[in-house]
Amino acid sequence: MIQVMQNSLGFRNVHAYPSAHLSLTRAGVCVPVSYQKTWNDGFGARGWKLDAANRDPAIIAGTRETGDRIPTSVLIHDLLDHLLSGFEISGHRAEAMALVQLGKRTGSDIRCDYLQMVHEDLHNGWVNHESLASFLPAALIDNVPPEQQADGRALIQALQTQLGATFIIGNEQCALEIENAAGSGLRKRYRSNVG
Amino acid sequence: MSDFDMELDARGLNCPLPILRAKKSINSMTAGQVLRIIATDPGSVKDFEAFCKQTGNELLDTTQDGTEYQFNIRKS
Repeated sequence: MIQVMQNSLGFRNVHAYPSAHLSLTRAGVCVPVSYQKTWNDGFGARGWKLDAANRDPAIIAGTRETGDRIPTSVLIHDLLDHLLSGFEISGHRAEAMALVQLGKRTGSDIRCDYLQMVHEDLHNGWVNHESLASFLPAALIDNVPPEQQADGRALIQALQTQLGATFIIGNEQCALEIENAAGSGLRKRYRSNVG
Repeated sequence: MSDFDMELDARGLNCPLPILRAKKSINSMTAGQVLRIIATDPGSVKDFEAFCKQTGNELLDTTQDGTEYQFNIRKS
């Protein structure tokens, strides 16, 4: 029987992981990890990496220590919320889904992390592992000319012109923004001035 | 005490998040600019030494004030 490793939405079939990344033993689930005092990965971080992520330059090593705000470590987040949940270890789409897992698992408020991704990355037109145009809801970019969709920064600037200098990206908020813009009677280019 | 061009508040974050945030901040800066980082993770002292050694950015100084650590890094 052929097991599909990954579907078109990026969900990975956990049962199809190679045994070098995950295996079931009598003792339980075995996930190989590696430790280095300093990883030669452009960060120089110390700590653990999942062997499944060793070749991904976007992955930074993590220690077992937790932060003050979120009671889990990066290593455990990568392990439980990404690998075992069937999401890629890196990439904004995978991170967005894995953060939901983290929120449910730990009871943490993940809105700050979402806002950070929006403000630091999406608002700068940058998405890891795919284009901004494929990442955003189709309804949001329908009114953006195709020539401005190919470049992330051009796309985000076009959206900011249409919807205002600051906007929250999300399906529900996207629909609200479009509805509000259509019903406001305001010319879209001036909406950011109104607030 | 050095001047700085951008400040990163990494208080409450533990390894590797201060480094990750610092790298993102430095990527948005131009060569010669200084990033100031405030962190509370004691491990960040060694982490930023290794980070600067590996990235070629210059660690100008490291100071400690109680439970807070301050780093000034000049982008190469």
